[in-house]
Amino acid sequence: MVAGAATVGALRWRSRAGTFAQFVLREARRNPNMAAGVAILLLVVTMAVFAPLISRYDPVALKAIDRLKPPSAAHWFGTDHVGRDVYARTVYGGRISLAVGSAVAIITALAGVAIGIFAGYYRRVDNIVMRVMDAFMAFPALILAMALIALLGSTVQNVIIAVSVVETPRMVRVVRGVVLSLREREFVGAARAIGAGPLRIMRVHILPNTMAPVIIQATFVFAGAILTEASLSFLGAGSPPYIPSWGNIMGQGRTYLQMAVWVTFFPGLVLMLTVLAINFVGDGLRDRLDPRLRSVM
Amino acid sequence: MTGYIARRLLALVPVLALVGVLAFLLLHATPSDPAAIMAGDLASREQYEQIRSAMGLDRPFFVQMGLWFKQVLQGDLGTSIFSGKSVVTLMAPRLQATVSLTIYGEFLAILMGLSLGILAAWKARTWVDRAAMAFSIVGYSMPIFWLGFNLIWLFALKLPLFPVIGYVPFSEGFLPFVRALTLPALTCALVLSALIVRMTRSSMLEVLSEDYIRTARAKGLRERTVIVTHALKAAANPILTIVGLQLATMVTGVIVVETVFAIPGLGRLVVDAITRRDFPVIQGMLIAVAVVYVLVNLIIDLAYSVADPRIRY
Repeated sequence: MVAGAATVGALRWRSRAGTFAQFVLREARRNPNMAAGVAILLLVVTMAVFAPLISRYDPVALKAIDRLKPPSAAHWFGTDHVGRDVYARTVYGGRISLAVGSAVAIITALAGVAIGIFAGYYRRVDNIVMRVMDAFMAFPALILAMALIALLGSTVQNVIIAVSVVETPRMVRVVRGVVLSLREREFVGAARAIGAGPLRIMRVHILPNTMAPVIIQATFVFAGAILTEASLSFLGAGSPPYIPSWGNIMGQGRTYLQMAVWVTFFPGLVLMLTVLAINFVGDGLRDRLDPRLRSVM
Repeated sequence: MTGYIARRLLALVPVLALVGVLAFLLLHATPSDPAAIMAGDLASREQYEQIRSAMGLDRPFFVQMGLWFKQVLQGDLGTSIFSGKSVVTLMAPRLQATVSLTIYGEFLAILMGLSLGILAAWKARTWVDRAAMAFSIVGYSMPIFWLGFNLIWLFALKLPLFPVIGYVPFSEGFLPFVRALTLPALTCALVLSALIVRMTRSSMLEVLSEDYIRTARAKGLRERTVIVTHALKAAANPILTIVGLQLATMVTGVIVVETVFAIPGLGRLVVDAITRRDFPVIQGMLIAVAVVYVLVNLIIDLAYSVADPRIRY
């Protein structure tokens, strides 16, 4: 049955195929890029979660005497224009960036699946919904997000809402595309023939089959949302300035580029490695779960 | 062809109408009071009322919507609350910087993206291919402003080859104009070419396995002729799509780059409007960019048949 569930299952660990460690090793050998991505991501997440244990400094404590100190043993990433430790700020900043990225990925996936399945299943809904999505996609993403934040106020929560609004149409398109082909398949026809209602068909037969593309698209949304949050914060329309995020650390450091390049360089480097890691995971998942999607995503 | 263009233009009407509704709702259906946001905390009751009526917010909802559409259809994108000038007047002098940056950036991106992509497909599964792919994935994992900073630091501060920031208008001479625009354009191009490399490679790989490529090689054509004339032409459409979409969405990418390099373009206009809560300007820009986006998409579709004569409309 259900081809998609089987393909999601392609990455599932089963105890009869060896221990979990053997499973991880086998997968890692199969796709080293993805393994590297997972490793980097785990490291960054651990740093963000255990931030207070990892950094010796308070990320918001001002220390005027230590202004713009270059990287040293005491301050690995140097200090910024008010003497705050850039390493501590980067570690804490990861909390905001990762929280925004994962929240947007989850919200987008939920909204995209809900809207996409209905649009794909009911042709009449489809026409209207997809025109609205087209209109949304015609707006420049960053400007729309900034405008929403300007209206709603600069809080982390509103950044998540704004970026989700911008990212959802693409997810809807992916889900809808999958559903359009699924609803013509025999097993859906068979379910209809034995009297299953539309809601049951959507939940039992269609929903599980959309999981692989949704998970893959969600990883790309995760990566994209981190970049968008950074751009928003850099432009001064993202997370509030008193909470360090990778974007606003760099935004605040840009004035001091000539004297203290480290204030912008290191947070950006960590951000790039994180996004790179997520993209590696996304590419790996796509190749592993559903290679046919290679041309689409 | 003419019939097709007419049908496509007609199909744009509902999308554009929706774009208009959404841009309108942005201001009028969100749970905040734009007049209050714009007036600020220190405004008196009268000032607040004044702004409210200046924005037309005291009128009934559908009257507001009707007036908004009438105004947009007449080519009036609204009036800035901050400067009192019309949005179109504000946009006009900034067009040159943004359009120059877009064209220059996309030109460099195509140059880098095409050559790397072709090279990667031609030398598939060698270190050249892997290097090109690494370039690509790093390119779109980077925050564009961070790349801009690093380029400024390297090519303007450490090696003073280019000015750090700023824009020199075309009227002050071609060379200074190009020199000031090179770093910003390169910043855009490095990120934009990432996708072009990927697309070119996969599209070329597909074509290179076709029979007629084998035939072309078999009849003794030079490898260069096979790749450039036979393969690239057939692989052009997906690449064209990416380039077109990039051109259409460039204003967004350019916002950040214009901020980094302090270029007085449309991107700066939006950012300033947002910090000043100048909502008519934001709305006007949203509409303008959306219209450009939709039209560019249409032009891409038409360009397909030029690049690939098998496609007929």
